[in-house]
Amino acid sequence: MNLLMSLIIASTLLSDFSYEVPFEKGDTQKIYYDESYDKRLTDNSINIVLLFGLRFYQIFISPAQGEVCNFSPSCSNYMFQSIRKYGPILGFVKGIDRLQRCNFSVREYVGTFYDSIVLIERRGFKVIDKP
Amino acid sequence: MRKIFFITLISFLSLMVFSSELDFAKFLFEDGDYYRCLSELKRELFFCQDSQLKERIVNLIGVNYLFMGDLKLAEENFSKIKDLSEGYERNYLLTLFFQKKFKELKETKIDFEKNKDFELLSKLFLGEAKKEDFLNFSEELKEISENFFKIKKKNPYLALLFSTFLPGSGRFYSERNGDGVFSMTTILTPLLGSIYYKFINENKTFFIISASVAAIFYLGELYGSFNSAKIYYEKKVNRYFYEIKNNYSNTIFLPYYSF
Repeated sequence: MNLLMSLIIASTLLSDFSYEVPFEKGDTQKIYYDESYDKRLTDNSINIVLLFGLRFYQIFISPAQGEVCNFSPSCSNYMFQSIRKYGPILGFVKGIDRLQRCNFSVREYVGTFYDSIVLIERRGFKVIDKP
Repeated sequence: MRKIFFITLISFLSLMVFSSELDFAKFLFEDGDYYRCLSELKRELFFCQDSQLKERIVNLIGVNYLFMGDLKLAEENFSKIKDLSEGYERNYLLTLFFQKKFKELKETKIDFEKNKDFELLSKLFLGEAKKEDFLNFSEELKEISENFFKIKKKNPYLALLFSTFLPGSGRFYSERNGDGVFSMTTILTPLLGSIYYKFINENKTFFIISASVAAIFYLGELYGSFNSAKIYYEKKVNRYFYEIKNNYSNTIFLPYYSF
């Protein structure tokens, strides 16, 4: 029974519906969701573990710390998208790199290393950095 | 009284008839009201019979689009002009340059004798120009080329080597000091933690956690330093392009137009 429940939860978390997580609803997800991402990559079992972990973080842990990411899409979404786009190894490493770039100096690099910023309603300015 | 009335009426009407057709458009253009200027110019174009004036109006429409930032429509209008004697071709080359169509700019059939500077600038951004090519040109072009050649490429493998031995140094090499400091902290802190839990306070679980966190961030650092050095030149050149576009907008990048 527990196994069945966990399978149901996993399938809902990894479904396309899960792209609209509550705190991301409306803005960045709709703008930056790239439909060309290879969805077959989710068949990979390593991917499923990683993506499930990310969704778990986004739904249960991230709301506690609030909207603090400097980037749009947020670091967890960036990692989610890059895993789907580049596969588990490169996608994960790219996500870690993004975590290291998400720091106090981000806005100094706007105009040089990052092209533009965007004003998102109720969330302030975010630096655009797509995977 | 009637005479005076008719004289003033006739003089007023003659002023309306004989004044230049583009005066109002000029007023709007100088006022910065490009949208209304465009509609005025298009109205003039609709009623215009003179082919030379038509070309001038099409050029002005293109210039308006250029100032509004709609480069595609500007290019479309400039390409319609057949008479290239008045420097209209310069505007076409300018829009190509602003759209970063350097290859297209180089391959245009337009005679570059008058517009040698655009050919050189396109070569510069394609990486085909040399310092000596700019010697006989204006001071502005020399300045642009000198500053361009100051941008140096960064070797991604060297950045990778730096980061392998000292995490964060690869990002310093790519002029991302903030990222370097932060990534150094994210690696060294769990690394020191793992040393502490291994040798001083022996706790296997905490040791495994901190060591794996350090390893994961180390992987990210290696990739990040390589990638930041790899994209460094492209990003800097891109930035420089927008800088010169703004700094020389009133000199060499001023479009040709006359009302």
